Parts: sequence; C-alpha cells; structure tokens
Amino acid sequence: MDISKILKNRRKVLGMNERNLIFIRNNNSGKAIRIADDKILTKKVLTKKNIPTPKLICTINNYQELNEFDWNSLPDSFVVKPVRGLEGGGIEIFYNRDKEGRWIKADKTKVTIDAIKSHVKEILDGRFSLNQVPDKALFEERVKTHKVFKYYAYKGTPDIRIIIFNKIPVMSFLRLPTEASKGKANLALGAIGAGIDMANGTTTYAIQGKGKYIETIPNTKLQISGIKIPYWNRILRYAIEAQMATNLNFMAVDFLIDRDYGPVIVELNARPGLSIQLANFDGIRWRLKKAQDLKVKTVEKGIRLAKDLFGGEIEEEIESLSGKDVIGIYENVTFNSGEKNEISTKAKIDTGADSSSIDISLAIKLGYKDIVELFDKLELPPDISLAQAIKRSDELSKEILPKFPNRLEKLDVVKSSHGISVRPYVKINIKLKDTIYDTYASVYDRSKLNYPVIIGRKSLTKFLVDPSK
Amino acid sequence: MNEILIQSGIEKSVIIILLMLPVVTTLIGFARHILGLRSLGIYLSLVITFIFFIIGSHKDSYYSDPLVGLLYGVPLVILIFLSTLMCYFIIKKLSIHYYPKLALVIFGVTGTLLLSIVILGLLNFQKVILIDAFTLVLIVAISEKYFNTLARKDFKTTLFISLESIILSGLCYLIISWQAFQDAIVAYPFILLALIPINIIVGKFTGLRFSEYLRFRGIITENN
Repeated sequence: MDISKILKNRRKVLGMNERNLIFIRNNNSGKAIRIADDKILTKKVLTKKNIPTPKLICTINNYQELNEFDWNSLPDSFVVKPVRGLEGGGIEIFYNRDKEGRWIKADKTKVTIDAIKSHVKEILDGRFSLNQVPDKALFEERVKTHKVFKYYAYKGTPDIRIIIFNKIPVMSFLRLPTEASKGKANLALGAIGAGIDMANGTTTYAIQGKGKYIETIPNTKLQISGIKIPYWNRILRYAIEAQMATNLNFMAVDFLIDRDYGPVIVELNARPGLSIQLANFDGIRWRLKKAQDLKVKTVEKGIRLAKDLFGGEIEEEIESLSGKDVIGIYENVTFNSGEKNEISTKAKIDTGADSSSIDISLAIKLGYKDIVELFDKLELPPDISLAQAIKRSDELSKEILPKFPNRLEKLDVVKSSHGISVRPYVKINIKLKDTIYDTYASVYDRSKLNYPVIIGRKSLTKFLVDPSK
Repeated sequence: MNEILIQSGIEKSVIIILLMLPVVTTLIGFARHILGLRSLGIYLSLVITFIFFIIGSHKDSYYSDPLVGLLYGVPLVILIFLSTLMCYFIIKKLSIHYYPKLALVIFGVTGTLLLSIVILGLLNFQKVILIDAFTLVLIVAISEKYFNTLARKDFKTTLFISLESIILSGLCYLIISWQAFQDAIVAYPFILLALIPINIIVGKFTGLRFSEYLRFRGIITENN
C-alpha cells in the first residue's frame, strides 16, 4: 500500500469528527437546525417560498386530539410520520383501504384503526424522537412513485438526497428501496444508494446496505448506473431555494418525485450521513472545501457551479468502467488494405445488423476485385429454395475458400427482397475511433443506399453505442 | 495526597473508583473519536466497566482481578442483553405505552437475573452473589438503554454496537485494573490532570477515525 497516496486521498474524505465539529457547528445556527428537525416547521418555511412539499392532511398533537380523532376522515392512501423523527424511524405508508376499513401497507399487511392509533401513541410518547422527548404525529399525502423508478424500486418510493453547502449542491445520491429493506429507502436496512453525477443527474456507482458495491438491482439484470433522474434541474433549484429559506448552510435535502407533480421536499437534514461518499465512490470533503469560499448570489449560479465543479464526464466514466469507447450511430471508418492504401469513409453503426457489410465499389478499391468478379458470375437459379441455396453455398465454400487464403472469411446465404443470393465475407482491417482491429464484412451492391458501409454487432464488441451522439 | 484521602475515612476502593471515573470516560471518548468504536453511550460503557471492576475486586484490597472480573462480568452483561432481547421480542407486538413496556422488560430482566443468581448459588458460584444491591440496580438500568437501542435500530446494528460496547468496557477495565497504574494514581492523583489536555486534544480532533479509514478504504486507496 502506498502511504503517500493514502495521505493524499484521505483529505478528500469527510469523517464524522470533522462533520460535527467543523461543518455542522460552524455553519448551522441552532434556530436553523430547529427548522430542519421539525417537519411541520420545515413545511411552513418551504411553503412560504413556494417550494413544494407533500400536502399536509392533519396533525395529532396530544392524547386528547388522538382520542377525538375521526379516523374515517383519512384518505385511502397516506403517510404518518413523527414530527421530530430520526433516520426515517416511525414512518408508515398506507397505500389503500380494504372493505373492512383496514389500511394496506406496501408489504400487503392490513392495519386496523386500533393499530394505527397505538403507532401514533408511540410517536406521541417520543419513541422515535431525539432523546425520547414527547412528539407529535403528522399525516400527509402519499407521493406516487415516478414511472422512471418503476422497475428499480421494490415496493416503496425511492428518494433523492442532495447535500448542499454554501448554496452549491455538492453531492447527491438516489436511494432505492429493495426487498431486503422491505420497501424502505434506508441504507442501514439494505436499500441501494446510487451516486448521481451532478452535471446531468445520471446515476453512476451504487452500494447496497453499508457499503457493498453492486452493479445491478439484486436478482435482476437491471443496471443501476445510467438512470436519468427526472426534473434534475428543478431538484437542484429547489435544494438551493430551501437553503436560502432556512439558512442551514450545510444540510441534506431529501426529495421524492411524484408521478404527476414532480419533485417535492420531504425532509431537511442538518446532520447528513457519510455513506453518500461510498455511493459516489468519491470523498465529499474536497467538494465542501471547494464550495466554501465561493459567493453565490443567485439560484442559477448555484446550479451552474454544482454542475461545473462536481459533475463528472459520465461518458468518460462509462468508458473507463467498461474499458470500451463510446461511439455514435454515424462514425468515420478507415480501411487499411495492406499496401499503404488507406480509405476513409462514413459508416453507419447498426446494432440491428448481425455483421458488417461494404459496397462493391469499396471492395474493389480494397483489392477484392477478383472476388467481386467471381461472385458476379455466380448466378443462382431464380426459383432456388433456401435449403438448396444453403447446400450450394456449403459446396462453394469448400471449393472457393482455399483459393483465397487470408482474404475470404466465409460464404453465406442471404435472403433479401432481391431474392436468395450467396454473398462473400471478406476480411478487412479497420480503424474506428482509436481502435484498429480485424473483422470481416459481406460484399454487395449498396450504391443505392445512403452509406457504403454498415458496421454490425460482430464488429462492435469493443464499443458502446450511444444513439444520441 | 494518598494519606489525606485515607485519613478522611473514605474506603480505599471508593477512592479508586472515584479516581478511575474520569480515566474511563476519557478512554471512551478516545475510543469513539480516534478509533471509531461505537458504544451504547458513555453512561452504559461506564457502568459496564465498573460492573467488571466490582465483580473482580477483592474483599479487602482495592485491586480488581481482571481474570475474575471478565470471567464473570462478561457473561453477566451478555445475560442482561440476552434477557432484554428476549423480553423485547416477546412484548414487541403488544400495543401498550412505552414506559409500561419498558417496565415489563425490566421485570423480565430482573426475573432472569434472580433466577440465574439462585441457580449459580446452588451450583456454588459464590463470586456472582457477592454483587451488592446498588450494582444490581446499575445492571438492570443498562437494559433500558439497550431496549431503547433495539427499538430504534435494526437487530444486526444493535448486536454489533453491543459487542463493541462490551469490548470497549473490557479494554477500559483492563486499564483501570492494572495494578501499577492504580498504585501510581493513588500515590500521585495529580497526574490525572493530564486528562484535561488529552480530552481537549481528542475533542478538537477532526481527522478520520480509524474505523473510517476502513470504511472508506475503497475511496482512499483509489488511483486518482
């Protein structure tokens, strides 16, 4: 292990000691922390500045209110929370109500009014609040999961956390509920945390639970990286506005994204946890230091700084992760026919095609004139069946292939709108992006098509294709 | 100094415990901020440390035998944790107020403890029966903190924190039961003043904790 590297990288990472002593204490006043710790106060302050939060249904402040409460006034779907809860404790989500009047939770368990009542009692008794001080319960509307997350989130609703410092969003992650976390977006219970690129709101790395790196959603083949968070700019905007409204200079802002209404702030947190660094595979300390001395007067500047300073090049990252170059749909390809004869042309990258193909004229230029002429003469009977054509092609292969060693890869039968034909596949050496490699391509008349060259899947194993390029 | 304290009529073991209190609390602070050992709070770690100390102490001297202290103390603390855990799971689903719930848990713990003492007495393990009444109250009191952690955190986390707590208390106990250290502190109590700068240094430490080097090792050893 390289000690100097550890000492250098260590400075990128924020630890608990420094978070508490430097960032929380020096940046957050007691008054500001009180706003974040009280969900009703948070709602009031944010609503005043037109920042969306889930709609409040009602509150229960004491036992008397609990006894007088009309449970049937609650809608079929709602969320109950302790007003001063910690780490998501005591939050229960109800999705629907059955005929007997019981509410249904995400895991399909049915809950009677009495059970909810005793849960609210526990909240009032302070079971979920800091130092067990008596608390209040709040009921709010349930946020419906956005369709983007439909296949990624197990039952519950994923949330997005932005850590914001000095009016600049510095780091972010997406928390996805899993089967292990029983539908709760809580990392300690086994939810997934996926780091988010600040520039474009796309997920990068992901951990499950306390810090196990994963690439796909457990038990599926769904890639976690590359999820595009909807309303990314609005999320950044609301985070900065929330900071301006509360004067909490160092905090985490937690968002849910509603299917219909877009992002809403569910919670402000004056003591953000440190796992976000693992999910992003990067320390947050250097980002905080960078954000520290900047003067941000407008929301727009905060957004721009966040993107410019802390947004990675996602493409570069995918490239370095997979070791593959990212190419677009149309690329320049250089053919090398061996005798210092290089031909450059436009090619269509077609992942729908099995193998590559080139136009006859290009094949001739590449020195395959003999093969082209030979196949020109090879006329198959017009009424030949596919099975017969394949048999004929196999015979021809045995006869012709040995005549063109290292030049002809194979023959194959192709059925197209022009009928059935046997096509030669010639060996080619091409340069695409910065990679030079050997592959093969079928030769036929493409003069009436837009591109003389198609690069198909068999020739694309070294690349990732981005259709937006 | 030693003489003055003795002449004042206070028992020597009481003096030792009083002098060791700030040492233990300093150690707990060090363990948290420099090593990153989690614990179930400073109070609980302190109580467990002194439970070990009292169990290991000889009748007529202020020394505590680490072997005896840990041999009987660790199973005792684990017994408290386990009985709390058992009671917690039994009454978890009961929808009653928090304090009555806690009272039931403590009732269960006391019962288990009583039963164990009776059994141990019958089996002639006299050492455990020597615990005085006040220590017993302390022992039961730790189950509140434990119950509370169980109610808030998931089972696995609580388990790990409890283990770390017991390890931390064990370490603290080994240090304060170290005879040469005890003798030095009784002879020169003023060396305890060194705890003041130590606490200030630990209190101002903003570096990564040892456990955080482990936690973030992926990022720290990354090539960048």
